Amino acid sequence: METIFSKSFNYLKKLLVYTPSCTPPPFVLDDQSDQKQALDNIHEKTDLAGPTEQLQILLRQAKHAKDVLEAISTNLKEGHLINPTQIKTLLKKLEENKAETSPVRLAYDAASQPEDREVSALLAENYTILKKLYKLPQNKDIVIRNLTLPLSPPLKAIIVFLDGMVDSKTLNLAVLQPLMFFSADHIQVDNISKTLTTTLIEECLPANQVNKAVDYKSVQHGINSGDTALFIDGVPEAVLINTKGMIRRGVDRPMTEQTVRGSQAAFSEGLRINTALIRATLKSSDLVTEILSIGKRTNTSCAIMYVESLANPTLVAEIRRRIKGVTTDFMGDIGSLQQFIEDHPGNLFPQALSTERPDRVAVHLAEGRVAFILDGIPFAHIVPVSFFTFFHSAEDFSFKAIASTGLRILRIVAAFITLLLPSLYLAINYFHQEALPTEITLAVAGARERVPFPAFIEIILMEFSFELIREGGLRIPGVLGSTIGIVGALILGQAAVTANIVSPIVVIIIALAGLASFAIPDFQMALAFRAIRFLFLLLAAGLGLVGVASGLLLLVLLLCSMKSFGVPYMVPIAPRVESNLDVIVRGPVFHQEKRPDGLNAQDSIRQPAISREWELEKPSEGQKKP
Amino acid sequence: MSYQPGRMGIAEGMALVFIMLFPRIFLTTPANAIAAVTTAAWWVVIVSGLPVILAIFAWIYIFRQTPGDLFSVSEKLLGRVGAWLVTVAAIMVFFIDAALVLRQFAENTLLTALPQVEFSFIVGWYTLIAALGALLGLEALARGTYLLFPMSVMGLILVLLLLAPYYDVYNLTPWRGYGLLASLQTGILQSGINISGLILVIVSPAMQNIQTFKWASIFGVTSGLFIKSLTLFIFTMVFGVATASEKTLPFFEMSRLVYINRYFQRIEALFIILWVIGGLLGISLGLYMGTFLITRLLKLPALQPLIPLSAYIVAQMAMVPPDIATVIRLDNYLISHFYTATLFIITLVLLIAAFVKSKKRRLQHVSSYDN
Repeated sequence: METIFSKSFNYLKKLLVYTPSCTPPPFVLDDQSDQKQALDNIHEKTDLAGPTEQLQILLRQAKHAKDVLEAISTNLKEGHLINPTQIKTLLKKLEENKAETSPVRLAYDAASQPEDREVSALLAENYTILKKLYKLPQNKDIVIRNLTLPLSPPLKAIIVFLDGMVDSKTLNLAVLQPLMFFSADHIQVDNISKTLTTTLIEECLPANQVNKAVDYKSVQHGINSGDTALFIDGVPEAVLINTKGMIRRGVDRPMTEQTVRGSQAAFSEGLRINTALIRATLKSSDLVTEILSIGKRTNTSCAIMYVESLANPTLVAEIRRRIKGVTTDFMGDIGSLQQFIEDHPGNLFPQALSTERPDRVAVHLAEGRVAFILDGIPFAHIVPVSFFTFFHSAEDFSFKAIASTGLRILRIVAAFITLLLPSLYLAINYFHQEALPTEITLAVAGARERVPFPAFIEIILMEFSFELIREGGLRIPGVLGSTIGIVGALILGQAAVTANIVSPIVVIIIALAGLASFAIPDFQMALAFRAIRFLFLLLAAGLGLVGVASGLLLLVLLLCSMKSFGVPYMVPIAPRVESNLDVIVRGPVFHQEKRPDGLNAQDSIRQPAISREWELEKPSEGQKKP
Repeated sequence: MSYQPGRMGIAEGMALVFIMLFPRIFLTTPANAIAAVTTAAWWVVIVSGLPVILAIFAWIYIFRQTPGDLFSVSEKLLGRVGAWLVTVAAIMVFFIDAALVLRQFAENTLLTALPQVEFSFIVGWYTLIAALGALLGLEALARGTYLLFPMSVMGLILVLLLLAPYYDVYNLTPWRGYGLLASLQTGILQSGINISGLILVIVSPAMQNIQTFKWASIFGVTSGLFIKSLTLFIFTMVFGVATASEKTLPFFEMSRLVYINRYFQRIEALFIILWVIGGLLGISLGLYMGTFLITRLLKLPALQPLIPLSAYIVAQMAMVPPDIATVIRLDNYLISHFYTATLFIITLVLLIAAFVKSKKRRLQHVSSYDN
């Protein structure tokens, strides 16, 4: 019974004591879930999973046998068979299924994962496997379409495809229409066996690529690639019909390797589009495209391209071996693949040339190199490469030799500026002031007079700001990126100098070093130089020019110890091999008679010593000398 | 192709030999040479190199009779004890040389570049860099040297050329120094300074063939001698005997003299990069060779684990002498006694052994033919 006291007490309690709200508890991912899941799997697999699966298979077989018997009974009228050929066909189907009910096959099927099983002759069985494989009915991407082939007797079949990956028009016109309307004209009635698929492929299906598959690994790979799989009742194999038609970006202009001259086509996401682009540039029957699969779960296609009569077979075999030897479940990017297969994955310096230009790939293939492309990635990687390849640009060969040599020297100088300029400033500022002329020393000292930080902090601040602007500009979408980058740099630089946080000379040095880093044609190489620059800054701040010299020596030795797919990184200078006028100094194209020596190509001669043969001939017409 | 593992070409071999002879140009050695033979120093350097070139020819004969490297050849010709003695002597030469060069470069750094830094820190730093270089392997050292030595040589020649306004040809007279015989005698006694010219003997299986060994060694030694001689020639011309023999750091002093205009008047600091790289490469290579010989001697499966230990020993050895004067004295003494003796004794003993063995083989061959 409530009294005034208890009421007051309850009221006060309600007023003073905190009561948590009635909202449901937040979701917390249980740390133990993995273990629990593993245990569940073990229980599921060990105890009754096998026998249950066996029983289910047997039940489906029994149901099928019952259907056949019912069909025979309907055909039997007063001891006579109305349609003997139909009965014959049904009996053949039963015989096909008999093989699958043997104890050994049953035990194997029951214990196997769906992707490890073989295609069953029983349509219901295939349906069940597909449901398990593609997690139906949760997965809405997969479409299983039932149809009846108008044969005598009519045969049940299913087609399976991934919505969005196939071209509906091709599917309707090249698969469904011939199967549903025309198959009766071509297929003989008693052809219900393995020969049925052959007849269908040869006479009925007008698609350009049609293959048979007997196991679910191939079926899965085909469906995931955009093929349509056809399963027919009573046939223990599937037919994979090429209906690929996912929407892809078309051939566009290069985004990161823009040139003034030369081709303006860039790779796209489609593997076949990319291989075709290379083939269109290098029209040779010697050009080989091998397709390998990477990724246990994803089965991503990877194309290896090389000119068979040029590329060193040992090199090709090694690249093939390395790619085949990658065990991972997912391979989403060519950069990741590169790290899986390169010689020094821990090293910052790139060991493969990444390009989005088919013409560039073609040039390197013609020199005896090997390219690999990953499905869905608009870049090709070329191997093996040397350090100097990263300072070549796509349009070097479009220009005259002197012009491209000048540009290459400029790029090398830019790399040195990126790497050394800030650290040289720091070293001279801290330890070797005498190296500067008096006027400059006084100017630097005057500019630094009001700056409260040591030069090292100044440089680090500016380097950090520059990298911040660069990274920010890269991530901001569209035209805003570059605008904000420029405005940010201008405002920050000006404000930092006005606020006496940094001296103007440091702004100049960092801007120059930053600008120089963009003159290096390869992004990965530029990134490596930018990262190592920070180490050089530390060395310069600690030990001045002695530190810089030590760092430089170690860097050179490190580069000399590296290899790109078996070829020394500093070739053709260290080790010295025939350079063929295409390292830093570039000779005229008609004087480049040999392929790079470091590649050990099968045919080392590119062109004869006199490639301008027309010079030896007399002109047929023209003004005659008096 | 010259880059295949275990196969070095003439360019790499030459670079290795050159870089072992080159670093002493930046030390007190040129001043010591002038103090010893005065105006004859520039040609006495060439005289001191002649025994090494003769030794190279002797080694070509030895390798033709008994292929292999220093250790295996010694083992075949002199037996296990002989091989041990020869290899231990070579290890001592490389380790002592690395330690003395390390100490002198560390002292130079304190004098010229980093006067505030602790001496042991510089020794430790140089040892660390040398050890890291040695860890990257002989291939990297050879190629790195080949890549860097043209720049080093060009830098050196640039300094020598920029000193043109100070050239005084009369400083070179009298060209015979203290006398022809005395100068020649000193040259022969000092030939141990070039013992590193035989570095390829230790790694001869890594050379493509005997011809590669021959030309790499000869080119390396001759180019090293030429640069040394040229430096001494200019040094004597610029400073004269009296002043030159008193300079502790001849190269630094020469680069200090360079004056192009008011914007380029103190460029000696920039040449620090040049001599640090040259010196570190020499020390690194010495360390590698000493450790390599230990590996061969003890028949160890890998070299890399020994490098930190060897580097520590070399650093400790470098810090033993109390001052730079003792180091220079010790260096001179070891060059004229231990290094020269090692050069002559090892080469002669092995040459005689190879000769005797080949004669025995020929006799056996003849007797078996007669029977």
